[in-house]
Amino acid sequence: MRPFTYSRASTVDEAIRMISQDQQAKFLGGGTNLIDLMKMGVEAPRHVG
Amino acid sequence: VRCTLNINGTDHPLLLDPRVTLLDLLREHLKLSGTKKGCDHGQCGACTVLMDGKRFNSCLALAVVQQGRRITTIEGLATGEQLHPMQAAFLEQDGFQCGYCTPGQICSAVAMLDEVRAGSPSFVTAVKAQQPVDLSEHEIRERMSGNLCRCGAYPNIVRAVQQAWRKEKA
Repeated sequence: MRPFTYSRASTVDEAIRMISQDQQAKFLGGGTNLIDLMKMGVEAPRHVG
Repeated sequence: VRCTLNINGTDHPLLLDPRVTLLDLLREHLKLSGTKKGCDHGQCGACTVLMDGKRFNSCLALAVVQQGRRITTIEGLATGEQLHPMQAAFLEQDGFQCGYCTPGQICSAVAMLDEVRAGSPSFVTAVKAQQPVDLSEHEIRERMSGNLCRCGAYPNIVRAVQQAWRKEKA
């Protein structure tokens, strides 16, 4: 899996701010889809929150 | 990333790469090898653990995200030497052959009975969701369908779940 940084937003506003600062940032949610795709190298976000 | 994870009632302060999955944390870092790695893709259910009492595939969960949750693995189900009723039922009903899927099956079954108690509908009972669930074999097989057993020990797994359910109600 490609390296990425992780941060946890405590409000909706903060989450939107974080995701809009980086084109390669992704929302994790539960992660069951994104993590699987990241393991396969289909997704390689720079930042996950 | 620094984080503290509560696993089986103990707080573990950790320094982790964000890529580490909960499964790898349990097995490789904490040496809790009861939780098994089957497919590592969320298809087989061997890595099922409980997060705040709900079942989850630990291979698809990032460890650092679990801060603030109570993680329970197969090692945390028993109380001292006293087996959890689901563990005892799997032993008594011979609900396994090779045993590789068993920790996942047991964790999954424990949380599944909680879902049934909470009146959670399934594909089988979707139309009568408001009534208490009748835990038939068909119902158990549907609700446990996320846990595969390559030995095909399903008949006895179903019996074990039925035994745990009956004992709890009695």
